[in-house]
Amino acid sequence: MSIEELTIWTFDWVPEGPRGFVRDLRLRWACEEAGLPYKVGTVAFEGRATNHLEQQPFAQVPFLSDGDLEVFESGACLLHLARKSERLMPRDQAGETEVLQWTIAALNSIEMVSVPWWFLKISGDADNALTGWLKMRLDQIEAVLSERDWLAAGRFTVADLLMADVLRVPDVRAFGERPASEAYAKRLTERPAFKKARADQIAHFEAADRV
Amino acid sequence: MSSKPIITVFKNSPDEGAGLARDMRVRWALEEVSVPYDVRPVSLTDLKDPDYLALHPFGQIPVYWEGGLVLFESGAIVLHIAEHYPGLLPEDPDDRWRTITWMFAALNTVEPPIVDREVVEYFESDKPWQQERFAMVEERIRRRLDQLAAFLGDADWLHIDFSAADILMVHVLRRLEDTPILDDYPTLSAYIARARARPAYQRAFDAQLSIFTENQPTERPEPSQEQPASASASVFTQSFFHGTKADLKPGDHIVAGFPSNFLDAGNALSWSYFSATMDAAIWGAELAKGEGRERIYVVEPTGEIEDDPNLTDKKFPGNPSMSYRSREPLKIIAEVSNWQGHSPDQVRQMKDNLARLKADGQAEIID
Repeated sequence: MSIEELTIWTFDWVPEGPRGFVRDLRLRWACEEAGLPYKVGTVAFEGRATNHLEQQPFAQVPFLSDGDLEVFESGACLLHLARKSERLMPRDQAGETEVLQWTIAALNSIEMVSVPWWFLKISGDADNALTGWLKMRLDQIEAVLSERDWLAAGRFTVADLLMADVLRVPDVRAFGERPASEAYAKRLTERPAFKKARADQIAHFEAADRV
Repeated sequence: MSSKPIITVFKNSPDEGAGLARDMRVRWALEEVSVPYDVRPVSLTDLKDPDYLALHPFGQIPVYWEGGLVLFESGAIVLHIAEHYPGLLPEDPDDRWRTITWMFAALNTVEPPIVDREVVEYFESDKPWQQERFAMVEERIRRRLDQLAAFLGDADWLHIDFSAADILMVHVLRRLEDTPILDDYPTLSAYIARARARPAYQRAFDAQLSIFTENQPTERPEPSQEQPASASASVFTQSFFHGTKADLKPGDHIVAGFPSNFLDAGNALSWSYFSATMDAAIWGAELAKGEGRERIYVVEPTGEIEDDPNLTDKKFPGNPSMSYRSREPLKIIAEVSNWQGHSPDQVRQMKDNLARLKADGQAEIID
């Protein structure tokens, strides 16, 4: 393995439900956009609570290895990849800082609400305490997206990749009419790099079904 | 970028100056790198103003200005500060990434279940399933804390030296301080205490508390005529406070020998107790015996002082509530007129806890 080589680590198999949404997809998508070559490494789904704590102290995926460096947390991995390629983030300081801001906003202002809301919803509590909070956040992001095509620096960046990945969840998309957000999610998920990343992830897990 | 950074902060923080609002992270980071900054206090109404929403689409604090740069999201602001001023990230590029990874872990793996717990606490208090949800969310929190404590082991900080990752992680964990969960994690309690003992943390904490204190309406009756014109706590951030229901005036002395405020009967105490934090003094006033109104005095010890053993090495190692005692009299300097008490619920809960301790035979004052 060459020292420069990127490896995206994910599970060897997951059940059908999460396929197409496991977060290694974010990293695959970023590498595809940037044209960065990468390999996919796996940890066993069986025994996952303890079998990769060395690499990921919270027993999650994905994590990324870049030569000797290992990075976990999809947000940190994306930022690391973005600093390797101008296609993911502009090089000027103002642009870079704006991308950083929106990357963290996707994770901490939107996903911080949407994931627990979704979890309660699929647990059967459709009208849960987070509904009002999520509605407020989605309305706020709708207002932003009504006025521009891209979140930061006037162009596609890793912040859009992450925000789109947060907003494309079917239950989130179906939660109220938000045409600008819907058009944004649609536009982003039509990018060839996304389609390839998603298809590759699904194929990766399907291949394990046949073993 | 040479101009002094400015951040927006709550004029009236919902946490009542406990330092849990997101401006605290940014203040702390700026204090650590010794960058002076200014604040713009904003009200909850200001946050809904279209002009504010143009700066921050989610209508939160803090917004950060530095020269021409305007930023929101506390995590982004702290990372920006850490990358532009030395001291909060390691020099080695790989170690920088490992540290940044932990910043994301604090924000995106440890904080979410903790925020979720607050949602259950505040928004589902009237729901029949609240207890069940509490149990679920607590289990998620404990899983993360187990993993975090295992990772931390006997290290002082998350990666090599103190870093921006510790600022975020400690600030996230502090949201559990008023729950019993942390009692089961001595490693993490010690980690929090170690971080809180940093002078930069203390400066940041005092600064945010003084904003809250200054903005409280005066609800108390007129102070005595010797009272300085502005006796808000911020003026006395380095001072000592004593809470009581006794009516005293500047120049008076509090002497040891009164019975305890906290126990029904028993012997008179041979020490006078006081604190360098308003919070401890406020508890002193609220829990004091007597029918008089609750008062906080700024006091000056006249002799040797020592850590209050009743509040040292208890929930947290060391003396984080900065509680002290002295055998010598305490001189009253002034009465603090502007302070916000705990909510009736909090006071009732504290009294219940003390009553339970007493019932368990654990109520004892080390005197």
